[in-house]
Amino acid sequence: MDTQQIIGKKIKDARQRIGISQEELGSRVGFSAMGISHFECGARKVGIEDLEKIARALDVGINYFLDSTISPTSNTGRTGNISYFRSSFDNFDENKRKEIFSATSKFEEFVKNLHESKTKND
Amino acid sequence: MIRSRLAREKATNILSMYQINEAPIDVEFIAKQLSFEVHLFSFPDEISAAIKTIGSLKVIGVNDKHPKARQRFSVAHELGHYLSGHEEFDEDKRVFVDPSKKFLNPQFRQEEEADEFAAELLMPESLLTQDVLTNHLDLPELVKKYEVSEQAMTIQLVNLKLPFNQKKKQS
Repeated sequence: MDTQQIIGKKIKDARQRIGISQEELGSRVGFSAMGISHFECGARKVGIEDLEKIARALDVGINYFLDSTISPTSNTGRTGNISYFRSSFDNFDENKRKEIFSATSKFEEFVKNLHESKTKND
Repeated sequence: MIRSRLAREKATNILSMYQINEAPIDVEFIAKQLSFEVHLFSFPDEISAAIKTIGSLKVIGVNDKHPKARQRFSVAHELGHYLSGHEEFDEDKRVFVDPSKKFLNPQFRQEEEADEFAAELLMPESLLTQDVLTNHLDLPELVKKYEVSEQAMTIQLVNLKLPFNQKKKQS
């Protein structure tokens, strides 16, 4: 599962927990049921702004989704997820969240490049 | 509680596997033995460390601006996540609980477990007990010897129910 799929699953879990349809969630955040379905299966990337809207509509904090990428730490050697060890992530303003998102993306990129350079050298 | 104990046992096993019985514990060596690369990385203050694995490549990024003692703890903490197999928790096996009830949140439990592992790895009970009860080291001396933060050492002493030695009198 890549990060997008994990976030998608998180959206689905949270939506089902409060018992609303994809259509209902879509109408709350300005997407079609199909759009929500694409988010949930990870086929469509959710931007941070949309994720914030979805979080509000599902009555969860944004870190519910971001945290979903915290714990999966692959020790099976399959395409690795990323795990972040963080201090408290509550009460962060938008800028801080963006900063964190951007830093973690950069780290992912760094590891990807490292992996590519190692694969080339092999 | 049982999970915490398992996390601690895991740390003890790692130390005995690599025959490490002296403080400060070389956490980078342990990471290396477990095939991790440790890299300093420019993270915002809120991120202490991150793990990313791709295929056989396993990388721990550590906040380059944090003090050394904290960096050491962060690496140990990430190893704790890795060795506790926390990867599956968020997927199908996850039982949902209200995230605001922090102590029931699996995420929080995982963090706690990783912390327990890190504490035992960097401040093993057997070594610490000896330093406190036999060698009578006080808190600053322990902090220096184990290369951990005062906060981490204090928590470990409390958890192990070890006394805080008073500062030695100047002789």
